[in-house]
Amino acid sequence: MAKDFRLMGEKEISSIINKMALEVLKSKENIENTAFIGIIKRGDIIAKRVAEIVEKRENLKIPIGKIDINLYRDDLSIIDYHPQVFSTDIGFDLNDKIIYLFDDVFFTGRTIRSALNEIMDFGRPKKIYLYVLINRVSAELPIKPDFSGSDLSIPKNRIVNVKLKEIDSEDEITLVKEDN
Amino acid sequence: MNNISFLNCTVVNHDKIKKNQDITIKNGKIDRIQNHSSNSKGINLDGKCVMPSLVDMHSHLREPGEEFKEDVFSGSFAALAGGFTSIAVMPNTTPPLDNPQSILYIKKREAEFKNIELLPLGALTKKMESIEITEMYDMLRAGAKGFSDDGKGTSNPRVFMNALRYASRFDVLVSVHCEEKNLSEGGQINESGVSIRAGLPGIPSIEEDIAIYRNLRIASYLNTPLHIAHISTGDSLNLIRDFKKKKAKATCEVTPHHLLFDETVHYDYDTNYKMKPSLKSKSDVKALLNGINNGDIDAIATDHAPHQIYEKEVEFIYAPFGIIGFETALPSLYTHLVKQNKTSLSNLVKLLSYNPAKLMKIDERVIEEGNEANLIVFNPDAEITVNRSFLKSRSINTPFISKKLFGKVEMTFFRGRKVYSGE
Amino acid sequence: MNWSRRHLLSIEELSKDEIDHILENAFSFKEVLLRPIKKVPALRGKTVVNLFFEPSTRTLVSFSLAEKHLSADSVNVSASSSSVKKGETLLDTAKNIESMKTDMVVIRHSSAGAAKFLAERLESNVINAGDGTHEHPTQALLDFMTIKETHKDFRNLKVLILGDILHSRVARSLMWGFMKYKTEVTLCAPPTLMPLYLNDFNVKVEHDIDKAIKDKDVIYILRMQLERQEKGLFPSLREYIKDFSMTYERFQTIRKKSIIMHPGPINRGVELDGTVADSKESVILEQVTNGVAVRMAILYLLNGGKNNE
Repeated sequence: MAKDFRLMGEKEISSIINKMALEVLKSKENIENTAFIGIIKRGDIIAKRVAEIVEKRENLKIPIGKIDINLYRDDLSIIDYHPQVFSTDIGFDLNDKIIYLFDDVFFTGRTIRSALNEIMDFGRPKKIYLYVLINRVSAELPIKPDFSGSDLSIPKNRIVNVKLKEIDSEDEITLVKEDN
Repeated sequence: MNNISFLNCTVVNHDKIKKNQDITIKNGKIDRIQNHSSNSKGINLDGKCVMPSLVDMHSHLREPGEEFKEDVFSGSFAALAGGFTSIAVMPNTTPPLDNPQSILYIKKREAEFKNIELLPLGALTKKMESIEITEMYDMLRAGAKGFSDDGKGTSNPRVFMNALRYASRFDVLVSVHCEEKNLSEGGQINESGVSIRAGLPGIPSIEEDIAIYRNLRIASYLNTPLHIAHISTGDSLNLIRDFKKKKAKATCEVTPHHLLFDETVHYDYDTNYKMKPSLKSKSDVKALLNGINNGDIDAIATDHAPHQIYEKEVEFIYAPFGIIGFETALPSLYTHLVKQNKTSLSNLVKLLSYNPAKLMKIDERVIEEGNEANLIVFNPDAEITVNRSFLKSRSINTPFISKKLFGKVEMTFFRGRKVYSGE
Repeated sequence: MNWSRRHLLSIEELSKDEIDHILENAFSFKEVLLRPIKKVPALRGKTVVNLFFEPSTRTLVSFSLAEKHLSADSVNVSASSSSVKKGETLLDTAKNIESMKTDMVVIRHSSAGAAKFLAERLESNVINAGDGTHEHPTQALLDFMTIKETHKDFRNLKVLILGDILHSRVARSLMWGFMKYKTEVTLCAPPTLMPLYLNDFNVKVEHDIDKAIKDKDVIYILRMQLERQEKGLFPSLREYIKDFSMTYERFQTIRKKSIIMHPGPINRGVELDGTVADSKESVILEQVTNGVAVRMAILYLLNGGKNNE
């Protein structure tokens, strides 16, 4: 395996989280009618971090949910092994809500397509925004993030590896060359 | 009749092996055996074995009644391919061989086939129902070579005693299938940890020695000989040994599969291992192996029991019991016992030919000047693959299917005529 | 872990990690059952055949629901296995159905080894929904899932399996699974309904029910098959109830926090008192719910199992 290339550290990540929170606050949407949903495994952590900032500023509680999109993937019949499924947890009624959907990396857009389908199975939100840390700008579907911390054009055979303290013991984003 | 000479062969008899021999067959008899001489003319066997052709004390040819499984022709051809030129034919056909006419029918079919000696065993009781005894005298006149209620086992002890007593004056083989059906009924395989684990209904192994005890006790009470068919447990063997010690005229046989397989094969639910008696534990296999080496067991018999693939390729509990055995008996025993130094080739000749011939009261199976030329050419180094084209039987229900074995019957001679060629 | 199995034939063949993996997924699938729309597209376009040669409403409904929740298309084939000798063989039936391009086969059959028989001969994924007295792996898995909800640590668990052990495929699957977790298992039954050879299983045997139930965390009661009386394996229902039934009186002597389980359907008043079955200690209905989740997890995992044959 080639040496990993460090893209961001704790400082840069926390700055993006802050920007995300500001962007949410800046928007003209009714903050009281807003809910966050993060895509497992790291989008849900990002959602939580952003929510903490927004909640402090506005002094209110934002409903946060998390979704596992594996059951909605479009490649289940192609891949060799079916991935482990984690529990989706949307503990609120999302009909007519403004939803902010969080993920770590935006790549082909297929994960987001799955997430959107899954969300629709829970109800009919008024609007959905997509917030990501990094946009690899290589969408294969007509979907793009409303906010990204950084736009990076990266060759397809490379992996952007996001680590977050809550599950990985540190905040770091690295570029890994696929081992083949 | 033409003369045939084999040069440079290894003569394997039940008691000795002699290398570099030349054998001449003349008028259906073994005319001369002498040390190999390079001046002699004939077929050079390059050291391959010549041994007496085999005698099977226990087989099912399914005719009449179930010719879709086997008939006299296909079964006989399979026997010749396995090196057997004399085979005892069990009476549990449909209808059973329980009267002189049915024995005559088998003899007629034998005459049509020409190349084999069939030894029909008549039923001991009519329809093998264990109620009335059969016309044994007339069946013997028609060509029967002994009696048995094989597969049923004459359930009523009083009837069995009468049948045995009635048969005693004929001095022929009476073979008995020993199974206490009240214990074995509903069972699929031997009752043990294996049957519990496989979830298959078990048959307690004592059903066999309980039945053997009953039958040998009756025979010893009457002081008549009795042959115990296909024993499968160490307990059965011990019991028979005890009777023999007390001078009872008891003999017994074992099948190749009970010497080669134990019950642990059942974890795969392969119905080609489903048979009666069931396969037993590793220690039973060991005891039986001991028995063939120390003389406690008198014969090895195939219990050749053909069933069609579509009958066997079903859920385990619906498959019929039994496997075929003519073509694989000698090669499988040679491969797994002789080559592994667990017994000798001479001993196999004794158990597959010499002893059964004596028990069936037919010609002496020894390669010796003056004896009938019933013999086979056996190449121990040739490898065979057991597949559809190798098997001559109409059915292929054998656990050896698709497996490789050593030892090939290259020629079979019956009364001086070549009746099978394995090339 | 990477799940690589294509068939689920027994608990015996599974490793502890594989069982854990199924259960972890099953808990996630249980969440799907709580959604407003209980349907996910994971097996969209896949066809599942439920081939039931033994009647079993409960297991069939559970599998059917699991298949529907995963968006698979499923058909139920109920056939009588006793007609097999005259009619079509199991193999012919299965091959014909597979020729209609099915992806998975769920089989319930009265012969041990029937699921393995099909797995060796079909392209489809095969799930054993009970084969003779051999195994009933999905039942054991849903039982493990249910126990996990109250008792996380299987190692320090004391389990009692009560009833007709000899003829129970559920008991065999449970014993195999618990052995992998090193759980202490006790069996209780009349000697005629207990296997004679338990050498492969690390279990205790106790014929006195009052002693057996005292210190257990899980009391698993098997269904009593009334046919066994005719075969002379026990003298009368009356005596069985006195001697081996979980009565209300006995129930009052069990440990606090013990749970009562039963694979269903219950013969109320025979092996299990009705009040006990409906008590708060009983997790019998939870078992039924978890059955759907476990079967969803199995269908999902097997369909993704890589073909390494």
